[in-house]
Amino acid sequence: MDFDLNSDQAALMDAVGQLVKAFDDPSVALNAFYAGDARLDRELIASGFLSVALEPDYGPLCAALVVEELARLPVAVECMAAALPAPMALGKRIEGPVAIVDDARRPARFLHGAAHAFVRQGRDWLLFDIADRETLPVDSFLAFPMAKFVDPASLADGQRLSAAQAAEFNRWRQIGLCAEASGAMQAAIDFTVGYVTERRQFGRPLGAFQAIQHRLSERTVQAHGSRWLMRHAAWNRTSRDAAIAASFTLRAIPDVVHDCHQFNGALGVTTEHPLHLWTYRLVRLQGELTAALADAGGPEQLWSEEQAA
Amino acid sequence: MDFAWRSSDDAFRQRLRDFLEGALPARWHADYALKGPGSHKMMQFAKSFVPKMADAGLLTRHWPKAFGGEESSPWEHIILSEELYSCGEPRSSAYMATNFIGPAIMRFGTPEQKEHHLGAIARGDVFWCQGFSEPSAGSDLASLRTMATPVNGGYLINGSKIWTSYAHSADYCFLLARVEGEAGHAAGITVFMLDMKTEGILVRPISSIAGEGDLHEVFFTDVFAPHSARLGEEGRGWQIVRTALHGERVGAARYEFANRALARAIEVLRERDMLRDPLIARRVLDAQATVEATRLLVYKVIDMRVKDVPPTAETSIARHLMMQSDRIVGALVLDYLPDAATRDGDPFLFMMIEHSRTAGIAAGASEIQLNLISRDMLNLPREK
Repeated sequence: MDFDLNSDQAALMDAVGQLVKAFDDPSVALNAFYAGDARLDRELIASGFLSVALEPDYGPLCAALVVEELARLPVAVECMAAALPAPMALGKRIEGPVAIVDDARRPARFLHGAAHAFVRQGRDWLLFDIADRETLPVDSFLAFPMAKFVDPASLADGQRLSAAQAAEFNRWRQIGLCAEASGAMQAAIDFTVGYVTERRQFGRPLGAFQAIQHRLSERTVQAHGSRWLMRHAAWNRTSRDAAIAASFTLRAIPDVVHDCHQFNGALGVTTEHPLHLWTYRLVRLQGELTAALADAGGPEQLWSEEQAA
Repeated sequence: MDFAWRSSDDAFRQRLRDFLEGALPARWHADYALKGPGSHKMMQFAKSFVPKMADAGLLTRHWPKAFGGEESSPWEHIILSEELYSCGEPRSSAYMATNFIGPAIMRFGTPEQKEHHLGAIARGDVFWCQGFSEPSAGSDLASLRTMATPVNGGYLINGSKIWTSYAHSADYCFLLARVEGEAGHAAGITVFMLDMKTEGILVRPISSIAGEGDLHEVFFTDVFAPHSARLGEEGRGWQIVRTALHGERVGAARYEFANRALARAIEVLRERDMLRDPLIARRVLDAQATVEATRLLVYKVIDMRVKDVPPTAETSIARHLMMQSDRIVGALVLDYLPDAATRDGDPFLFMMIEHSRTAGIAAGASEIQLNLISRDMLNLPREK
């Protein structure tokens, strides 16, 4: 057991860190609900960081670490679906951006401009090449670009995932969502810690009040738990571990979102203040993770899979 | 980064399980463990069990070779804690002596004290209690008032301790008393290794909902402690205890008890056909997730200890989660298997309910851990 990165992992994460640093500017989305960055999208593809899941020297744990790191950024970047569920379910890389659509009639994130989409139909998942499909951006307060299909009824020619592929897809979708949530939760907490250290009321910094200290410490415990369960699941690759990470993360997200907003006060609900760039990604991730965990089944299925293994 | 056990660790765990299977009696949980590690029955059992552990080379493997140990890794140490704590701690109080009292004596004791105590601890011949908390000094331990007044040949100890587990049948007390200085200040606090048979010591059990024989008051009236009973220099007790407990870092592997109680709860829920209820299924998953998060964060602290990284607030994160594991499993049992709170129910689940009540209180209030995270990890400003 070793909780530190090995040399390959450290080299990869150093390189990711260098890239991330260049885009770590919370003012990118001043007065906007979210911001993307086309240059970051291009550099991610060129760097190959989103393709590490299937590389023997790296693998899906590294892909999860990359997703976690990118999710700390103020900008919204599609990396999760392309880096984890797509290659792990298909056994090969596909061109991104990749969208995941739980209901073809409803908006999904990163759908507008996506090259591929996994679309849920009943109990099945289908993969579509959607480069030529018409999609419509949908306004929202989420910190992700949302869009929906203009003609969802025409989605008929997709590649149906086998039961094994669908299980793999759902497992890595949960782990990927947990990686996104871990990065965003930590970034929101870090930002909030900075804010309460500066902001003074009643003659002292807000962060000097024990009421605030304890809640931020509890949120830190949750963020750490979520992060390590996600990393362990990415290493151990079982449905049980994925569901365990998802369950823990689903309990953490609302607490982190609430307390970070509480401690940033009224400023935190304005788009002049960057907090929403993380928290209003988290509220979307919460819904997607709930759907993914529901697909995973309950302890009876998850525990019996473990016994069978 | 990887999460695999070394094969030698797996082999050690198996060796330990085999040993326990041979050494624990039939109906272990119902007839022994259920009574609690501080009960008379368990302490009687431990008096034969702990020497057997010593004979099997399992009691003080983590000790330095110079003191008869094998310098085994902190990984083996946490495996030992998981396997023993999760079956109800058949060592009773012996874990204190092997885990931190013995190492404190190695570090701060005189050659005579090492000679006198370490062999007896390593053989499993003596049982200790820990005289720390007082009526006015709980989590705020520096407020202790028990006095050790210098007299010819040693000290006279006067005062009282409270919540003292195992006091009713301990041979020695690892006692904190104040040679000088005021309550609220660490200066003046001194460690004594007091023979519990000394005249003037009165032990009174406190009835509780936390397990039989677990809580006591201990009164000291003109108890004579010779100089040979003092560990380290006068007034250095605070430093000695901090050093000794730093080696412990996360304490007992409470999460593994919660884990096994949860496994038992799942079995009972399945027998009663309740596990298909989606709400209950989700509660089970949430509880398992908290236990697994705790385990990982504890292992992270162990990994740091293996690498000789000084303790950080990550220890507090692990300890806070440990409390939450007990709470979430305890709440699941109380919500869906409420009969477990009676002697008519499952003994393991009964113990879980007891455990969950003291989680976050025993070994220091969990709010202290939150203070440490705020101060040492988040670097938040001090309140005053």
